[in-house]
Formats: sequence, C-alpha cells, structure tokens
Amino acid sequence: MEFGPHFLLATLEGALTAAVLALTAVGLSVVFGIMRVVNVAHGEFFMLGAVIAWFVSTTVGIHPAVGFLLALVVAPVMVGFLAIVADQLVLRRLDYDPERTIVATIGLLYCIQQVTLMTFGPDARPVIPPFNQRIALPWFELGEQGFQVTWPWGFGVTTYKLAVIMFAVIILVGLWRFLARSKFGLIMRATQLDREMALAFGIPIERVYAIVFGLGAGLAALGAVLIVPIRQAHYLMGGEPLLLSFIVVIIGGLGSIPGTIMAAILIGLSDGIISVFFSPTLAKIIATLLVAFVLVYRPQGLFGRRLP
Amino acid sequence: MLRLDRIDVSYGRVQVLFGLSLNVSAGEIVCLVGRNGAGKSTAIKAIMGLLQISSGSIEMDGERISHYPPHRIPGLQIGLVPQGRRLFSELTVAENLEIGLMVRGGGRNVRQRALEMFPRLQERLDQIAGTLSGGEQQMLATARALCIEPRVLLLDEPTEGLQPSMTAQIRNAVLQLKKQEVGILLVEQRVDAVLALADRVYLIENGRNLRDYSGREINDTPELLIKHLGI
Repeated sequence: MEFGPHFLLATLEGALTAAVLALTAVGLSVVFGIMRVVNVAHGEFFMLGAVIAWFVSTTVGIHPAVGFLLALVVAPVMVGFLAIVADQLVLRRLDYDPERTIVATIGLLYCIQQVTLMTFGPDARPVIPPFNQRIALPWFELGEQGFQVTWPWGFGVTTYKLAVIMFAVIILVGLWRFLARSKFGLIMRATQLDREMALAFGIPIERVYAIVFGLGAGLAALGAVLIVPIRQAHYLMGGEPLLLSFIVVIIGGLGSIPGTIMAAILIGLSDGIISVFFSPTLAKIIATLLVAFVLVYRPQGLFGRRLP
Repeated sequence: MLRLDRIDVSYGRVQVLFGLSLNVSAGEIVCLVGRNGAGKSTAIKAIMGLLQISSGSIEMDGERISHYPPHRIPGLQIGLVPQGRRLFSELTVAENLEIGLMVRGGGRNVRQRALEMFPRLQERLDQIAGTLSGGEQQMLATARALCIEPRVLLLDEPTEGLQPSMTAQIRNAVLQLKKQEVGILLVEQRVDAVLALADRVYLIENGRNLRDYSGREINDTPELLIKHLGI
C-alpha cells in the first residue's frame, strides 16, 4: 500500500485509540480535578469494565449484539457503583488526603486485579462486536487523466471502529454539556474551585466526591467496553490505559477536561501513527518523553493554567 | 437567635479560641473586634461548622448546631460573606448566585431581591466572577449570601481593601438588612465602620472575650476601641 492510504489507516487507528483514551483519561481528570485524588486504581476500573462486558455478553445467552448493548450499560454502572463503595469505605475515611489516597488506591489496584484473577482466571476473553462490516475506502490519485478514484487492497475500516469513535465523541460532548449546563455540573465545578466555600453554601461535598469517583470509574469502564471487542478482556489489561491516562492528564493539565481531550487526541493519534509505521513501544517511549518535557518546561500542562 | 456559649477551637494542637461567647439577635448588628490573630475569623468558621469546637456550644434558635455537618449550616439560614470574598472565581456572576439559591431552592424572586441591593451586578450576570473589580466582587459575595435568605449574616471584613464609595454601598446594604430583621455579625478592623453600624461590640483578644460594649458606649467614647486595637 502506498504512503497516503497507509497514513490514513494509521490515523484512523490513532483516532480509535484517542477516542477510548479520551473517555478513560477524562474519568481520571475529573477525579483529580474535583477530589484532588490521584487514582492509581483507575486502570483496574477499566479492566473490570472489560471483564464485566465479557461476562455479561457471554452469559446473557441471547444475540451477541444484545449482550454487548446490555454490557454497555451494566458494566459502567456496576464499576461506578463499586467505585462509590470504595470511596465510602476507603477514601472518605482518609479524609481524601492526597498522599494517603495514593497508597490506598495502589492497594485497591491489587485487590481488584487479584479478585478478578481468582474469579475469572488468567485467560484473555474475546467479546463479539455487535456489528463489524468492513467498509472499503476509496483513494484519490492525480494521474494523467486527472483525478482518479482507486480502491487500494486492504484499505478499509470496520463499522464498529467508526461507531466507537462516534460514540465516544457523543459521550464526551454530552459530558461537557452536563458539566456546563446541569445543576450537578455546577455543583461539581464549584466544589473543584473552593471546597470550603462549597460546604459553606450547603454542598455536601462528600456525597459529591462519591458520585464523582463513581463517574470517573464509570467512564473508564465505558471506554473498556467499547474497546474490548477489538482487544479482549484480561486481568492485567489495566496497566496501559492507566499509564496513557496519566500521560494525557499531565500533558493536558491536571483537572482540565478540554486539555485532557486535546492531549488524548494528540497522544492517541501519535500512538496510532507511530505504532503502524514503526512500533507500539516507540510510541510509548515518545509519549513518556513528551511527559518529561512537559513536566520540565510547562508543569501546569499544555492546556492548564499556572497555579498562583 | 445565634448564640456561642464558651466555645474552644483549636487548629491541630494550637488552641485559638478560649471560651468565647457571643450572641446575635434578629435585626441587630453585632461587631466582633480584635487585633490580627485574635480569633475573629476562627469564630466565623466555627459557626459555619468549618472548624470543630472542642467544648462549649453553638445554638441557633435554641437548637444546638455545633455537631451539625458543615453543609447543613447554611440551610439554617446562616449566610457567610467570607474574608477575601472567596467567590467561585471561574464561574459567572449568575452561577455564583445560583450556588447560593440552591441552599433553600430560592427562585428568581430571591435573586432579584439580592440584585436590587446591588444593581451593578445585574449588568454583569454573564461575566466571570474573577474578572470583576474588587468592589463588584464584594457585592457579589454579599448578594450570593443573600440568596440563601439569611436570618443571620456573618460578614468577615467586608470593607477590606475597598474604596470609600464601595464601602458606603456595603454599609447601606448592611443597614437595609438590619431593617429586614436580619441579625448581622460583623468582623471589622476599621473603627469608623464599627462606630457607624454597631448595636453591640465584642472586643476579643487572644481568643478570649475581653469586653462587651453597647453601640452608644462606643460612639460616645471611641477611644475605648482605639486603645484596645492599638491604632
């Protein structure tokens, strides 16, 4: 395949990574921005979403598409609920202290991972996508007879991948509108800006924190459900999304949702393109180096504001 | 209406208030006066439940509220205008007021009444609060507290850093609230503000009640206050 179509394919793969990464990283960013908690267990909520999606879609026993659609609702809700329970049992008792919650979420990471291993075993579990038609893509070339439409062999995309990208965009736009327009969104933003004043104006911040922690975990689980028909569910799959989410959140600016989305697009696209043309390992090395540069030269992130 | 009875408050191991007592009745302006570090703002935070008291009690209408979680205090119609304004600086003026309105589910009428006191805010509803001038920010902090329809309003140095015209506007608002039977607890450093407004003055030093004066006493002999404040 020529460079042009090859590059477009790599970009589409990158867009898929960016879409799922944006959902997962926004979850991490919301939790850090509002609660000031660095949730090291975030990748395990992602993994749990994928495993629950496999469990639901294979045990329901009806058409795989229906099972998958059910998983799309059930997995984020269950993971969100589990996160709320973890918040109430662990984080709240630590008074959301930034240092102690890091250690606590590391503990949570291992608990979730090992319980999943003991319950579902070590095997990678496939999930059948609800639809997966291949669409051949045209390519335009300037030849001797002007523009010509060609259909390069292997140049195409599946409907499922396109649907994942569109679905993630819809969810992110919906989340943005929810935060900007809804009453609870206003409460979340006020709590993020000044926790003490939020209390002084009757906002029960511990309840807000519990919901935010559940929302963050639910977003990670949603990202996982979307990607699991492409990458399979496995009890060790939480490490990579956690690393990439941290990279994205740091580059975007801690707690900044627009910054997180921009950084997810940047990292996702570069990951897709570099992985296709060179190697996935090189993509991770470059992303990690970028984080190092950002931390040295712009510690507030590319899109964050410097603290006063 | 609001009563503090011999409260002790500590920051960690450092005790700041030692048996502080005061009370505020409806339609009364009570001033809490003392030097920097005397514990005035600590008392305000203790009333709002933002600091736990270690002994004594805080009561509203005879009901002990010192064990209430902080988010329940505004629901008792105790409003706060904090030192340094503490607006939600990235929210708009309208959103800041909305946060106040949420406490008691107040509607447009409540917001309108708050805005009538500070008409300048009406023109700035969509402006980000952090971009307002100092005086406008103080107006917004006060209007935000009025949105909870307070029966007791705690004002912590509301005229700090304001130009005289703004100070006068805040002072008029306080007098208007007094007419509406709102009890005011005013923490002030400026003697002129205290003299012009106070029905009673509590002078505190090192977290303890030093003396109480009536408004008339202070107006007749302002030297009492000046001597204690070391101005």
